[in-house]
Amino acid sequence: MTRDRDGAQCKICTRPFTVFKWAPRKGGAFKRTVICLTCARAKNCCQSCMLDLSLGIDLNTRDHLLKMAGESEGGNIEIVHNAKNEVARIYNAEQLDRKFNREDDERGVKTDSGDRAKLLLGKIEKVVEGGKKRKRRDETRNRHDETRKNVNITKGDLLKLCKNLPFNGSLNHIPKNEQIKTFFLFGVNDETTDYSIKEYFGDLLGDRKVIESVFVNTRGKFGFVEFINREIAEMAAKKMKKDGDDKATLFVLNRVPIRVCWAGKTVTSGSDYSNIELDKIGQLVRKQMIKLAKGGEDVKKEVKKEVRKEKRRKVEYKALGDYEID
Amino acid sequence: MKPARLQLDPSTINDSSKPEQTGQIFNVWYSKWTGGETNGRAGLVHAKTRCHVTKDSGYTKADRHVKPGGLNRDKYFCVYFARGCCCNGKRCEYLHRIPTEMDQLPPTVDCFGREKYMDYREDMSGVGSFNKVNRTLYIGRINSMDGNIELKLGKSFGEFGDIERIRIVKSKKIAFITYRLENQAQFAKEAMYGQGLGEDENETLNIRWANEDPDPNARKRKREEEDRAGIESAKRLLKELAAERASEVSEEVSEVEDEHEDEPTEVSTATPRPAIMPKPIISTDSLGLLLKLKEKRKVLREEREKSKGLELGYSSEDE
Repeated sequence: MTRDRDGAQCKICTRPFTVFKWAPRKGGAFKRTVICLTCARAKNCCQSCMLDLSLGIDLNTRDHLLKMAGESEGGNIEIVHNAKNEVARIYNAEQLDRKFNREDDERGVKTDSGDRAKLLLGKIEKVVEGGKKRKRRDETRNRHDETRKNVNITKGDLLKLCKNLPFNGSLNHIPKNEQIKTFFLFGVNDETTDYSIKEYFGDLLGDRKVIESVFVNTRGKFGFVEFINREIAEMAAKKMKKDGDDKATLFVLNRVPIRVCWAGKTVTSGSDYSNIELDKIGQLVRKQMIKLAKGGEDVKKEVKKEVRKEKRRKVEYKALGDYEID
Repeated sequence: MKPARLQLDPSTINDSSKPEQTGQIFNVWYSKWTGGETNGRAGLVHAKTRCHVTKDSGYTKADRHVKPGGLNRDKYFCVYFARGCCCNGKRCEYLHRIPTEMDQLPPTVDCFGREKYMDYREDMSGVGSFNKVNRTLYIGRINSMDGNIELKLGKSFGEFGDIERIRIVKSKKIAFITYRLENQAQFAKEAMYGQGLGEDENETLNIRWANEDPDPNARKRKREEEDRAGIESAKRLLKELAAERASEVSEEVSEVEDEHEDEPTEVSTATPRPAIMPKPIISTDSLGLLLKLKEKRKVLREEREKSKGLELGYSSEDE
């Protein structure tokens, strides 16, 4: 380990500080301290990797947890905000320095870091337990929001908007145009991500590389999946479709029912529409999902199946948790 | 797993393959021109090489220290591999693959081991900031927005990581791509800089970090994501804490009775039992140790000042 007095400027307060440099493994890469002791102490983090000293997690997450645990004001670990201005940073750091020196003189060296972390973890535990309830409340509020922003839709507009969105298609009618190797999906919600769709279809076909590209528009609640060639697309259709089903095929991904069918000749991009138009399409998708679901009970069934699967997983987890936490 | 492919034949590199003169002095360490009017910056030009992940990735010397399926905390990715011009192949000391969630590198460096800064540069280029976890890239200078641009972008950028969402601003010909992991965004930023979509030679993409999305929906989503991530890591910590406690309980078999009575209240009241920490990377009292060191140094300095006559600049005892 080497020491370099005033070897570099602290990345937070820009004052010079004593830099230590060492190799954790013999012959391996060097590590060095990047922020000064004062800044590290103020944030309760490591001078080199900037992870929290008592919890071992990054500062963003820690600050968020502190906030969730209601510790941001008057708590033990203060959330220190960084000033934008260089002079202000130096000034703040000097103030902190003085404060710490005073504390040291008064109380000597204190090492209550462990207890502090324990307290914090206890508070967080309560938040984690209470998290479920809060989430449910949020969900009901969301439903409220959606109904409120009802936009009026005229029929002419709708037809124009949905020219390239085959809401009434299905996987059974294989398109004659050999160029088409894309599926159209609708019913996705705000949390559906591109990669979750990609993983779903990749796992269905046994290889994620057969999917050329995926895109989901969360606002319009629709998306497209493109396969690398026509054969793969037909194979996927064969695997997914249900016999005697003349509607778009239903599948459930993370509790969200999504319907999928062959795409048309032209694949529109989400940026072809304005935000208002996308909202309209989103509403239409919801209506269409309800309409299609009325034909049979399959939506409920599928969602239930998924929920049951999830519950089973959760029960297992809970059993583990009971054993380990209490 | 196959060995990493040699992306660039070392024999093709000679003295004349240094970059075109754009400044006054050539810096041999960084292989860059400096000085002159633009300080050696040539501006954005089309990249000469490109990384083809499926073809090029493979094991290198760095993989010896990373167990397959294990956490990687200190091995970095090869920045030349990302740019498509690593001439070491399997003898490279850095990883030749795309980052996954098992690569958990310290937040002060990016996935290539380059140090981050407190603030972004004014133009949002460069390595980025350690204050914020940024998983979104800004993509500029897209030539055409015809057809389904999202699918096109998804195809080119999806190679370097799991894309969470893509947002397009058609009128400005720009796009924003959010990756699942910060590492993957860092990798894609380096890999796609100066490239074209679908290997288009006439296109030179400009890639930077994105600012925060002002869309209220996006903000809400971000908040929820943060909550989820926070709870996730809290759960992990609690689990580790519980495991620690379980091992302690088994050690102190004789005290099991008392233990049981204590346990429900234990979490909220700080009982003086030591070592509850998830073990970690850093021991809990390292800060205390540092302070002790500081005190000791203060004492030593005072002593030194007393015996200043004998002082010769360096003496071995006081260090």
